[in-house]
Amino acid sequence: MNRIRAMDSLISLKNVVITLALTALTLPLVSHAEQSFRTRAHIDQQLTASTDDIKAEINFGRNIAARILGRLPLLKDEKLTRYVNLVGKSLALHSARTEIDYYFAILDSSHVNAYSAPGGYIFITTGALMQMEDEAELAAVLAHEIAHITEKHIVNTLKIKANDNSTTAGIGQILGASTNTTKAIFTQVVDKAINILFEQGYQHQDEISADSVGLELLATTGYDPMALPRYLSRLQNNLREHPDNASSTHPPTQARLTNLTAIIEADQLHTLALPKATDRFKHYVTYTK
Amino acid sequence: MLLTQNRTTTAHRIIFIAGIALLFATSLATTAIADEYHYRNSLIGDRAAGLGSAYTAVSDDPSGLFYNPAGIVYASGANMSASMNSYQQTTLTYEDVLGNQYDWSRNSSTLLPNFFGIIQPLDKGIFGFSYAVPNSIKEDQDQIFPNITASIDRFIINFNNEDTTYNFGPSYAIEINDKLSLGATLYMHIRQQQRTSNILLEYGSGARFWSNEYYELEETGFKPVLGLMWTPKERISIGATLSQINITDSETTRHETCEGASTIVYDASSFCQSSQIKHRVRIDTTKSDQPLNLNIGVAYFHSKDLMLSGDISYYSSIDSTTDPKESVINLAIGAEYYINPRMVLRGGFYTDMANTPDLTTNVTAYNQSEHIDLYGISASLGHFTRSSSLSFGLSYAMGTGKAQMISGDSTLQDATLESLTIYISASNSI
Repeated sequence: MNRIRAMDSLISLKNVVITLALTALTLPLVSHAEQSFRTRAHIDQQLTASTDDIKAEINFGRNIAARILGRLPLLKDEKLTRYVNLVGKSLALHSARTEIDYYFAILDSSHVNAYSAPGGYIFITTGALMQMEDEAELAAVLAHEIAHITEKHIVNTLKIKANDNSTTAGIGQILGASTNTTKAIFTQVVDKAINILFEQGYQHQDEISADSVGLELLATTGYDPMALPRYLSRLQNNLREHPDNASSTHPPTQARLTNLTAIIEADQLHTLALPKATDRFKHYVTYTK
Repeated sequence: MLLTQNRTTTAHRIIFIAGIALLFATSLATTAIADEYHYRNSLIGDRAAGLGSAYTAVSDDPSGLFYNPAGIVYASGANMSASMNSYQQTTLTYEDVLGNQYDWSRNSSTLLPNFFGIIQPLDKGIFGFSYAVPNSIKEDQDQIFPNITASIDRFIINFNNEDTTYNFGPSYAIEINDKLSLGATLYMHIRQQQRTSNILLEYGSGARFWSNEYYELEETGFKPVLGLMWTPKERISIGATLSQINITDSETTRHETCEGASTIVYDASSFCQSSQIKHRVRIDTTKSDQPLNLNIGVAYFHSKDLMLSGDISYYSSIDSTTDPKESVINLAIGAEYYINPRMVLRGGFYTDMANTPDLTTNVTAYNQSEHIDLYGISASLGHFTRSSSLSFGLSYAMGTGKAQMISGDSTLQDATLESLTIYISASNSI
């Protein structure tokens, strides 16, 4: 009888432990302290991305893309979508990560924003398109989103990597170190990614980094690099008049403009006479403010 | 079951056994509970176990939740760890309990998950939750001693003791600056023990003495652990923890049953009487005092491949009329060496001193708790993949000392305790 009671106690204990442990997994992520001398030799192999990691990233991004499309409807305009894809893929050809395929889509939303999911999935809203005046500005926004992918901002923040299918990991799963909670954890991590895109925003340094990398990509592809600060300045002015359309997921525009101005002046990018492709943009983008 | 066939018929033996029977008849047999007398009964956590539990100044993975919560702020990432399927076998031998050449042997073997921990960054610090089983023993003694004396044909003892302590609870740690972090764990403490002791003496005359005792302990409380991790200079880490179990609820239930032998003369106050089966139940809700525990450790991270660590652990004494404890100092040292980025070797040495006083040989000194100081070694081999690790390890502890197994008798026995633990554990990054 007492053994049964003891067993019941153990089962209750186990349930409490598992419940509290899973609760811990749902808590928001932040960075934590590091002491480099504590780094052990086995960490080296964790830092190298494998083909499986890229597949995992694409799979993860595909799930996020589906969730984005669940929130905001896709614009069914084939001609415009094809145009945005041509601009985006031109940029992607010059990006730092050519091992993934990029897909560009337009979301039918008046909110001014653009989103990128790991693995190459990029979305721009019709609200954002309405704020643009030329193809260089469209390219600037897409380049910024491509930079989030090439710099792996979400991938690194959420530590997205392939499942470990080694024998060691398999035995570990049998022992309970990684259990069938994996699926639940995956869903929770997708939730966290959606939270970053729609609520929390990227970390400030990630946004600044995406601006810097995007600016370089823009110029390398052959677009007017001044398009990005020009677009951001216009947004800053317009959103003062229509604050409801403001994006809550980006850092203050002035901070971004200050960073861009510093890069442009340092690299003399304003001296480059690169095209804006205004006419072509207006041919395809017929939405008006 | 062990069948002992040695026979001695000296007068001394006859007197001794008659005394045993009388003592059983008046107070039942005392039972030694090996793990109560030591504070390091199970090595927790794969890496820590390999290092002989010299982990207070390391603690930078989920095992740190148990050893020093301040260390988890330095974990290499959110991850979960499990030191699962730890198999521990203990053999405790008391020599010449029934006179010369009749040894008592108690064996314990347990297979259980002894640690689970998960850590997760939260706000400005690290949150964690862990479950640990710092003590688990399942002792068995099943022996028959035939022809002990001319008058006693058979002595049968069946003894079973299960005693397990569970700790589980949350932890939180923050980095104060780049050289100092603080952490705390609040463990729920649960201890469950059931013990059964059955003794039968069969006399040549046909008389029998029989006693049976069932003992149960249910104890709950909490155990706060405060931790500190200080980095006085690059590559050197100093850790310290302070903890104490506080018992909030305790109940022991003792069922005693016996029947006296007709060959023994009983006084009127004796619980056991000839030809009468007596039964009594005693319940006690006294909460036991627990020692204050201070651990101080130092670790030297020589390189990515080599790390050395050492711990000193102090447990305070406990003044008690029924269960006094001596203060104890334990030591542990460990080393970790990576053969390559996928394979690591760990080794350690540790002490596990008894918290009981040295036994005296005074003829009036009865019912003294056994005293066996243990010395142990540990070793493990770990294999890493990109996101997980698997460790296989073992630890062996051994010690000799003195015990006094017969209630109300001043005779001391030599005692030997050996403990072997084999474990396989895994950790996984998430």
